Formats: sequence, structure tokens, C-alpha cells
Amino acid sequence: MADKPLKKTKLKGKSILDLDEDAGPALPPDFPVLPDAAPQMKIDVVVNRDHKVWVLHDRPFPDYLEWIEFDAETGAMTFVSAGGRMQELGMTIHPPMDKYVREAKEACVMMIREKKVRDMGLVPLMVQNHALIKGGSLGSR
Amino acid sequence: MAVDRDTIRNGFEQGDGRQFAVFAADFAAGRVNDGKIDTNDIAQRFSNQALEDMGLSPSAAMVFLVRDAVRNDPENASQAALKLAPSEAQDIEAERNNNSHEAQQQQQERWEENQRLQREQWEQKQWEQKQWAEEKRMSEERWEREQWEKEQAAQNRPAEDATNNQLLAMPFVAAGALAWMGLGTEAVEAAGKAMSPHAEALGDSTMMVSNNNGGLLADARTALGIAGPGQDAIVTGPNQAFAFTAGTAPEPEEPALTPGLQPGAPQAQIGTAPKMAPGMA
Repeated sequence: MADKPLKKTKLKGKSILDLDEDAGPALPPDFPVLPDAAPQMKIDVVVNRDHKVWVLHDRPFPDYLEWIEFDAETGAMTFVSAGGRMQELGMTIHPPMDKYVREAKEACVMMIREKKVRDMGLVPLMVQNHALIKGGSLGSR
Repeated sequence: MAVDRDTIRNGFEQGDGRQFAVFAADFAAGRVNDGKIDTNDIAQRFSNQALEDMGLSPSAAMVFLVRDAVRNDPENASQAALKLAPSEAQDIEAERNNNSHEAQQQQQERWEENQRLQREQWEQKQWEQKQWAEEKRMSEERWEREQWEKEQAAQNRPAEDATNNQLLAMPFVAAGALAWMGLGTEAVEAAGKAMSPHAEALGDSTMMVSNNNGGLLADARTALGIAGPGQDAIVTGPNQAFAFTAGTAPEPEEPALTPGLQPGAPQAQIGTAPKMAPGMA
């Protein structure tokens, strides 16, 4: 188990999303990878012992949320919009929490602001387990 | 026996019908002139008055008498004709009239029957025309109604399309924005409550990763009216977690509840943490 999750968008140790902050070229509006969610909003990823997952956030996602992917190997969670744009959670889901998340099939996404539920919906949660594939076991969960 | 017009007329004038009968018999037997039976010629030979005196009509009676005389005894037609008394001729004429009346009556009946049939045919035709007109009217009404429906649909289509597009295009964010504006907040919360079992299960002991010390979880429980268990765990690193009480989130830097857990330790030991929720083991 890696101590630090692998960042898919890392390029030579630096995220391409950080190019803007480093006076690099601005990202086009249709760039398929969005900045991480955690720096953009308050967000909680909650799981209980029955493998029910909640994603609580206080600001709307930039695009309509289609499904959520969870990399069981790295603990990274990615939000995929209807337009195919991906936005990582920006936080790593460490053990022992990940074993509950990897058993989940869906997540309840709530937007909460001023102690009120502003929006709520169920989205599929797809779990990728590359360790199983590497180990010879087929399938991702 | 020579018979001429004068002889007959004289005989009639004398009121003797036998003269006529003799003439008729001779006439029938071909002994009169050229022997051809011509009722018109006979009628012309005798005046109507003379025939009336004998009780006979000009045409029918004479033809009947001649025919009857010839049929009974052609050779002695004159003798047979002599047997025909005026009274008998009257009876024959009366019978003929009756037959004529019956024939006329039958003809009348046939005519009436034809009239009835024609009337029935006419009525049938009228009924068919009426039915055809009714079907045509219904067809026209149906066509007009379909046209009207098409026009109405064409008129309403833009509004319906606009509504559908609004519904379909209403993004997840927009719905949230509406709710954020206070529109439908109760409905969203009601939907959240109805989204069982997720909503109800939110009151269970949980693990989480959070960038706001679990404040949103406390807010969610408050909004949904769910009392939390009072113990949750925020996972900050591999096998590192600390207690979190909804609404009173401690700082992440505070000691976690997993002092004995080291990276790589069995996950089952999480459940052995002193303040870990018992259901999370």
C-alpha cells in the first residue's frame, strides 16, 4: 500500500493543473480534467459499516455528476461528469476506510449549505482494483 | 246464304238477334265476303245502337259469339249461332265483364304491388343515401377533428418542447441553485428523507475523509433531523483516525483515537480502538 496516492495528473512531480498558478497557460474551459474538489469546496466522503457512501459538499460541482470512480489501490476518488470531465476528490481515502468504500455500489451525493440539504442524488460508484488485476484475479469492483 | 249490311241492319231493326247470330256463324265459316274475321269490319257493319239493342258491345260480344260458334260446330256454325239467344249473350258478356274486372283488379293489384316495390326500393335508396351522407358527414367531422388536433398540437408543441427542454436541461447544479435560493428546500429535504436507506443510515457510526472536520456531516444530520451516534472517525492517514462528534469537530491536529495503530496494521484493529464506534469493526 503506497503511502502517497499516485496522482494521475502528475507530470514530472507537478500537476498540470498547477500550471496556471505557475504563470503557465490557462486551462481551456473544455479541459477534460478539472481541479481537485477539496480545494474548491468543503467536502466530506463518509462511509458506514454497511458500505453506504455519502459525498457531502457545500458547493455545486462544475458539471452534472454522472458517476464516481474509486481506485482501491491508491485510495483516490474521482468524480466523472456527464460530459466526461473528471475531477479528483483531492483527498486520499486511507485504510481502514477504503475497505468499506470498495464494497459500495453507489454513493449518495448531497449538497449542504447553511445547514440545509440543497440537493441530493444517488450516483453509481465504480471501484477499480488494479491490484487484483495485477495479481491475476480478473475484474474490478 | 247471302248476308249483307242491309240484311243485318234489318234484322236488328226488327229486334231479332238471330239474324246477327246467323251472320256471325256465316262469317265465321267463311261464307261472308272473303271469309276473314275482322272485328272492325263487323263493328262497322252494325251500328252501336243495333248492338245495344241486342245487349251486346260492338267488339267483344261479336268476337266472342263468332269464336264460340266456330269452336262448337264449325260446319254448322249457323245452327250453333242460332242457339245463342240474346239473353245468353248478355250472360256471356257479363261474365266477360267480370273477368275483365278481375283482370283489371289483378292488374291493379300488380300495379299496386309494383308501386309498393318501387316505393320500397325508393325508400331503400333513400336510406342508403342517408347512410352514405351520414358516413360522409362523420368522415368529414373526423377529418376536421384530426385537423384541429394537429393544429392544436402544432400550436402547443413549442410550449411543450420548451417545458421538456427546460426539464431535461435543468442541470443538477441548477436544481441545487433553486434549492439554495430557498425554492424547494423542503421538497429536497423530503426527498432526502425519502431516499432511504441512505438518509436514515446517515445516523450510523461512520468513517470519513473531510476537509472541514466533518462539519458537513453534522449539518446533514441536522437538516435531515437525524441524531448522530456521537462518535465518528475521521481518517487522516493510513490506519490513522481520530474521533469526531457531529457538530463539535475537533481540530485535525488533535490526537487521533488510534494511538496503537501503525501504518500497515490489520484493518480489523480499527474496531479495537477505544472510542471507535462498535459497528465499524
